[in-house]
Formats: sequence, structure tokens, C-alpha cells
Amino acid sequence: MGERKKDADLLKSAAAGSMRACRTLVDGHLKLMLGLAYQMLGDVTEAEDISQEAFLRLWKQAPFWRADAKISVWLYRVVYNLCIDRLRKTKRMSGEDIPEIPTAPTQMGDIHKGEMAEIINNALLTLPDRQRAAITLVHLQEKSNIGAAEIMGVSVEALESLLSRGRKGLKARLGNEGKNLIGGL
Amino acid sequence: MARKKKPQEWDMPGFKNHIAMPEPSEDLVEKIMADAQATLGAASWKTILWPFGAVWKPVMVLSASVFLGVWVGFAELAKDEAFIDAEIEAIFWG
Repeated sequence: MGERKKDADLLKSAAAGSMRACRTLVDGHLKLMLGLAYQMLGDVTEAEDISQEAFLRLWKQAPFWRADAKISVWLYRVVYNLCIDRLRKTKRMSGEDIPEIPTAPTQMGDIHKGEMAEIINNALLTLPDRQRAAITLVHLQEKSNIGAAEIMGVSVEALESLLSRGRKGLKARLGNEGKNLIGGL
Repeated sequence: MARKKKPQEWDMPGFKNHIAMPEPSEDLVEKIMADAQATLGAASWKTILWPFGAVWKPVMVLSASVFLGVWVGFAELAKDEAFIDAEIEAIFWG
């Protein structure tokens, strides 16, 4: 059974009031939704709000769900759009109120792994939001370029351009050590 | 023609390993499930009651029509009986 059909059946059961079906959908999609929102907003509480809102919209949509639509793509898109809206509202769009860029360490061995994660997270947060979304979807959530482009509502070529600029931006922010993480660009 | 992939450029080995993704908390899952219960639980009751609603309306209309028909019928009958009574009285008592 295809993922689309399986999810559509689950949502049909959910629309009929099956909480077990709802729970299966939550277990299957929540972590990735939360991950995308977190990478976009840089705040767990806000990411949780966004994830909750996305699922609330899914429950409202459940009785009218079209069998040919893919729930994961739909949810990703809702999360992405909600994040963009929130970023606009808080004026944290690219170029405005950019978080402090951490200084890249000279040697990878000098810093703790946790610190590295923080540095990378901060570097990601300084990227323009669409580049950050592209990097998150493709390199962290392992979506295909086609899948990520569909979620973001852009062409594959536009996504590739965002990825390229995003990687260059990350490399610049992470310094020489970024090469070890990002690979040869 | 398939696009030529440039693996070296697209791969970011090690990058993902350094990123910590948050795990969904039980509290968040409970909130989402509470939303589901509030939204779809109510919807399921509507779904269950819907056939009754669908049947109820035509039954109401039919009942009203039958009641009206019977009421008018009896009224006509009563009118006829009153007329017959009056005729009988006229015959016997002048």
C-alpha cells in the first residue's frame, strides 16, 4: 500500500473520530514537522506552537481530504508557510535582526560537539529564511530536490539555486572548518 | 534527459550529525491529540447523527401532511354529518 493511500485511509478514519488513527498520523509526522519549524525559527516553543497549529489545520481539513493529496507534503507546506508568516511578523526575515554570528573555531578538536551543534545552528539561523528551509529540507530531513521544491512552492531550479547559495553562506559563516562539514563546494 | 547529479557538491557528510533535532514532548503530543478530540470527536458525533437528521426532516414533512389531511378530512366529514343531521331534523320536525 502506498504512503499516500495509507495516510488517506488513516485520515479518513480520523475524520470518523478514530483517535488511534490520529495518534498514528501524529507519530508518523510530528518529529519532522517539529524539526523543520525548529530549524526555521530557532526556538523549540515556537516550533511546537507551529506544529500544533499545522495538525489542528489537518484535523479541520480531514473530512474534506482529497485521496490524491499527500499528507506529509501538505503538512510540511503548512509548517513552512506558518514559519514564514511568523518570521515576517517578528521582523526576523533575512537581513533584519540577524542573530550574532559566532566566530568559527580554528580547529574542530578545540570545541565540544555540543558547542559545534550550537555554532552550526546559529549559522543556519543567520541564513535567509528560504535558503535555511532549503538546506533543512534537503540536507537535514533528506527530502529529494523535487519534494523540497514542492513543499516550498518553487521550481526545482530555484531550489537548487537556494541550496547553492545556502551552502556558500554556511561555509562563509563556519569558516575553514565548515569545509569538513559541508564538503567541497 | 536525466539531470547530471554532482555528488560532491550535493553531499554534506557530517553536517547532519552535528545538528540536534528536538524530540516531540509528550505534552505537545497530548495537546495535538486534545485538538483532534475536540475537532474530530465532535465531527464523529455529527457523522453518527447525520442519518437521523437526514431521515428526520422528510418524516416531519410527511407527518405534518398526513395530520393536515386527516384533520381536513374529519372537518369535512363533520360538516357533512351536520348537514345530514339538519336534513333529518327538517324532514321529521318540519
